[in-house]
Amino acid sequence: MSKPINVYSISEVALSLDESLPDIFGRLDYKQTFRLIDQKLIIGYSIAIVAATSFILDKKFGHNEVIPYQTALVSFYFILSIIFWYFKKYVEKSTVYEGTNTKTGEKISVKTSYVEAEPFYNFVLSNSKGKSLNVKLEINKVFNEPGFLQTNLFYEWINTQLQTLDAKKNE
Amino acid sequence: MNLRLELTKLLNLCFVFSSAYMFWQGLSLVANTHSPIVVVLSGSMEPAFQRGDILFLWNRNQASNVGDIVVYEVDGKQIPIVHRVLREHHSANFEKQYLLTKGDNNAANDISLYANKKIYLNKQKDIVGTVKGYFPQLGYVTIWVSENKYAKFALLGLLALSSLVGGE
Amino acid sequence: MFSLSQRFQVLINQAVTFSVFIIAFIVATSYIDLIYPNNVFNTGVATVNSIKPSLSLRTSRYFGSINSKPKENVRLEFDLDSDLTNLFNWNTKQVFVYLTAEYNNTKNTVINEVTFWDNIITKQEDAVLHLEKAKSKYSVWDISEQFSGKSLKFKLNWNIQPWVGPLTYGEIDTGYELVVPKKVEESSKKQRVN
Repeated sequence: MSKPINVYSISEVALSLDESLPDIFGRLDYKQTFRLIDQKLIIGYSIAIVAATSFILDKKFGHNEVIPYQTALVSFYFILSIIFWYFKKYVEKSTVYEGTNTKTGEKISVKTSYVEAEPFYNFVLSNSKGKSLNVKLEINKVFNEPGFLQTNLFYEWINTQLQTLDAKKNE
Repeated sequence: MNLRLELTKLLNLCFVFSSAYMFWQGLSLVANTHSPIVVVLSGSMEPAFQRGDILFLWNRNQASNVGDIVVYEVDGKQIPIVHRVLREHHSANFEKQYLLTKGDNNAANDISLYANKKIYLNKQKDIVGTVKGYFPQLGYVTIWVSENKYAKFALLGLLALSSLVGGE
Repeated sequence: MFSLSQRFQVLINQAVTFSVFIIAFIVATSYIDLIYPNNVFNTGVATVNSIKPSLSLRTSRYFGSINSKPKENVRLEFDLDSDLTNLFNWNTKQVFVYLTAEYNNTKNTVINEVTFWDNIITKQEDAVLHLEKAKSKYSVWDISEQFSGKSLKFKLNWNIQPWVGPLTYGEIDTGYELVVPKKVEESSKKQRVN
């Protein structure tokens, strides 16, 4: 509820909804887990470290002195970049939230996406038992006209989704 | 908790610089030269090259041909020179090659530019690369950045800002 | 609608994409124009005639002399005819044309190529070369002690400087050979020999 956003830009809308998820799930007794984010950060920063090493070597010794090392570093960089790309595309996919229920121990994860120029927030909620729920949220239901996110409405909507998933489980 | 968010943002910034730098480094290794792309600084090759033009270099050739435009470095001078090969003398097995160069727009050859009273360049030692490709004028950005002390920071700041602000 | 930075980003992206496309098109079409219907790489004709060498001894470092030891320098007078009109198209900024000679040392252990004359052509109208009794632009010495006795094979070379893209090189064999005369009288600085 901090600042208004441009509700006509679906990327901004999706981003601000994504960012509000930890807070809302927190109120629903979920504790965020950071496994995927941490893995991504480790791969990402090793890429940065490889590049920095290459840069420092080049500045310190000059190109011609360290060609074998640079070849190795560039190959490393290339391989790590492919791993990073693979991780983002096939492992993380578009997971924006992972959490564990503090009471029941149930694990959930949330993937979100959007289609350019369509006013929907695609929301995939799944739990550790392999059940998942795929819903679309019309964004005008949770944003008011000046562009403020109505956190309470979004909270209720998510609560409903959790119950639906729960009901599904009991079928 | 927000540390991870900040780290992710910082990572995006790192990627902007590291990908640009590693692209350059990769190009250096492929072309076998420390400067695969250079910007023309002087008018000595006019009208072919003007100040600010971008040249793409290649340094995997065993020997230079007469007429090749080469970039060479002189001991003790910072700025590399882009001139045309006027004469070449090489041993039959290409082990050694001596070159005499001249700027198209200069009246005389480059002997007065060479270090230590030499009258030839050594292909293996002095040549940074041979010009293979040309793109006009775009290099003025780097001339502007290197000659204006605030421009460097402005450009870096702009890059940083755009990576922080611009989402997907 | 969208923020200024987003619009700017889209604009830049599109501009870069289009430029790459246009440049690729220019480079490809201009190359096709060079090889089709007449392949300029092997249909060029150049004739040189009545080359008259003149030898002189120079003692300046700028004429190849080391420690002021006299060095043989060669200048030429020559006739040249060639039509380079085909080298010009929409991606030709200039054509650099140069007359070179190739020669070996007596043991064939050193191979040399030197430029005697060159010219920058920036307009297609100027691309027909017709030179009579032209003077060589450079005073040429050999890397070894002597130039006299060397057998020179003459070539006319060209280099297309594009507006954008790769630099293109080609050569035309003139078939003209010449042996640099043996003797030079040391007393005269710039005496013509034949």
